[in-house]
Amino acid sequence: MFNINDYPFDEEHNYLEIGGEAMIFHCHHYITNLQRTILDAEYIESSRFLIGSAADSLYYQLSNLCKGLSVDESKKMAQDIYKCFGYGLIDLSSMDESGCTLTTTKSFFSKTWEMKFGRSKKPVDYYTSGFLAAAYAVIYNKELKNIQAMQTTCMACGDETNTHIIKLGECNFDIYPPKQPVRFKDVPKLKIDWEHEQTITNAFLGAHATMVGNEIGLIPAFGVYLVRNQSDYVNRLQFEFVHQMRQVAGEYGTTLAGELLMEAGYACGFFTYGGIMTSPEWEGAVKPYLKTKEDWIKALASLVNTMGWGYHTAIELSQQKAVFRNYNDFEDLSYMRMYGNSEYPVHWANSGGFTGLMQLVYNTDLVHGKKIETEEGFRAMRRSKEGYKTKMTKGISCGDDFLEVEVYL
Amino acid sequence: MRDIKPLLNWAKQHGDANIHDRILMKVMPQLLKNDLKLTSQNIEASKHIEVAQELYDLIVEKTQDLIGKRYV
Repeated sequence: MFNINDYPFDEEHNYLEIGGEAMIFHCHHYITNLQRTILDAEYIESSRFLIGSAADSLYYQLSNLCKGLSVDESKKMAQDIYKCFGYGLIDLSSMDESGCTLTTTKSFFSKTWEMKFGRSKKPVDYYTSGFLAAAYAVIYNKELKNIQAMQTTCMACGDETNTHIIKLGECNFDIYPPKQPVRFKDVPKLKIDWEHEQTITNAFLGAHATMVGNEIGLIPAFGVYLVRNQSDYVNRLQFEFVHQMRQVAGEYGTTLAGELLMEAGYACGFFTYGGIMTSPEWEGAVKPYLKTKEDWIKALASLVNTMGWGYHTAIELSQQKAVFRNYNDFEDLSYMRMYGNSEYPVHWANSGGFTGLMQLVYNTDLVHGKKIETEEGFRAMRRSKEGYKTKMTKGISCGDDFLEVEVYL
Repeated sequence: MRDIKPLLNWAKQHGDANIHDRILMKVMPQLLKNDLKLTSQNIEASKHIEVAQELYDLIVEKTQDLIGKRYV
């Protein structure tokens, strides 16, 4: 029913869209870190946007993907994309006009939360509750605002299965206004200053289509679990979190929230880029072209430019300081679709990722083949070495032509 | 008044890289009530950080929750 190869990669904008939704990869380090950051603020009602954000993106996406399909075909489509995107497995056969009580034993969120943080006191798979609310709304022609979605059991809490209850009732998640269409910033790009950029990019173009859910709906790759997120779903989590922290504590709240969001990006950059740069694929197709540490960073940028996050490049690069750019980065495009312009840069994940990359290449022995794979190793490294600082200087949603960030010692 | 700097030093030894930010996030409403806008930068730079007993007790509780160990 669903075939990832039906959706061509936009090479001009380094962008991928499926059913009208921009799609990007994240790793389990980032997603769990992001969710934990949000849940740490116990005084905000975060479940409303943790569920609502997923419901909104999936409602839009499934409405497009299920156009003209029967009820059974639509259920199959929803099941297929859930699995393909790496969220686990769901069976919608019991869903009917009144909703469903769905159980599953395969959940990206529950599995990776427990892997990273141990047992949780409360259910953690808000995404799937939102996904199911959207599926119900699309398949049975209901309005999201009349649907209640909740998770009542969770494997991350020690239960045997995850249980989600979806029914008509008082809506328990946020509903958002319609989004704007994507607006690219078509400006000349400053290319990566590296003779082998095109070779590496060409070697990995299309590789994203091989990163699909396995038989249990997970995507193990590069030592992490990847998940293909609806970009607006995951970015709205950041934006709503920051908005709510601003309401609680003004600029102080925004600043603290931003620090924590950037740390989530840092962890993602560190583990995922580390995994990529010590993979057999890298060893075979990239390493022969690398002479300096700067080459490692340029090669990584050349590779990730095939993944749908935008076009990454560096305008200044040394151990002491780097200035990175991303043209049409996924965070700014998302913000503009959903909220319009911003007073401050909103690209915490990108910027944290660049910072993690600098730490990895210049402050660890990664380029000599030694990678830090464990949580304790990561913590020990962060405590022992002088860390890079990050300054987000430009963003498309702020009116600039590109994302720009300084990373320095 | 109690000094939370020793507790925060202990937290840094045993917690995540951003443990100070996480602690601050947990107790933010109480920090605001006490007119304190701490950041991880000024935690690092300060030798002592004096807070009211009630706030101290809350910070100890939340720090222990986050780290999963009892502060000694």
